[in-house]
Amino acid sequence: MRTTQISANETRFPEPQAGEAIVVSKYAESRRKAVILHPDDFDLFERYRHIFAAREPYELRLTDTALAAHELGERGADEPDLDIESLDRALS
Amino acid sequence: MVDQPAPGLRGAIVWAIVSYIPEAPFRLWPGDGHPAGEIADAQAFARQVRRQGLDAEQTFLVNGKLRPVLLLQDRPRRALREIVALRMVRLETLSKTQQTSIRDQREPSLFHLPVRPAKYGLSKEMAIDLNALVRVHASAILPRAVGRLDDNELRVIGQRLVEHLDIDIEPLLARLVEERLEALTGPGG
Repeated sequence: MRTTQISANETRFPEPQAGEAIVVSKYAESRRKAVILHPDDFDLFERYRHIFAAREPYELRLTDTALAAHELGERGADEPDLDIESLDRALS
Repeated sequence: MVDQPAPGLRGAIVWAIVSYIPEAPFRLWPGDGHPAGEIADAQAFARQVRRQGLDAEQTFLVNGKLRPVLLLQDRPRRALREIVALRMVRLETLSKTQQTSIRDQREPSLFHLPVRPAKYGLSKEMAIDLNALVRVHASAILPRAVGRLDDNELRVIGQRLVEHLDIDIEPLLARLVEERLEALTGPGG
């Protein structure tokens, strides 16, 4: 969220208590124009937003080893020979 | 009649015919008596379908291999014949450093399977590749499982798979937390 700062001397607004949200409405309360939060609640909101923010694709976290192993497997180059013992178990 | 895999497929290590992912240039088999064709890429294929009347369905020549896989789903009704699985990779062709990294559980994408024939049914050291999700048809699976992962191991695989597939489960978690909080704080909670 983009946050902008404004000096308290330049505006007038009610001061909410912690745990309180003051809704500024217009058109006879039918539309919310702004919501004023206590700084502690805003910090909490920011923490939640950080926790639930969109994550980056997992591919960006893949290690060189993961990529090397995957590439070998995709080509079938990881198996120089067949695991005959295991295959015989499957056929028994 | 093809033998059917027994119920309780989830967590089973089985041998199956697994095809490779087709990639460009694509090889096409036009039928007996005709040489195999080749198409440069998906766009070229689509153009031929659109402008030259090529049938959208073709026989693509794709390699496949008999190899062990980990099955991720049960099919008690046998209504769906395709089963999602994870391909495995042998460790021996990787460098010593890479092998050590996998054995030391420092590779979230590679779930290590030590040589434990009684449990995993494999006589080679392997790792389950979390980036290698495949679908195999029931008829392509050898019915006798050689090994099995336990519930804890499957839980780890599932958690890692959610991350590897970029699945967003946070709305689900948030809803569950909200429901739990509501149950705790509501009347009778």
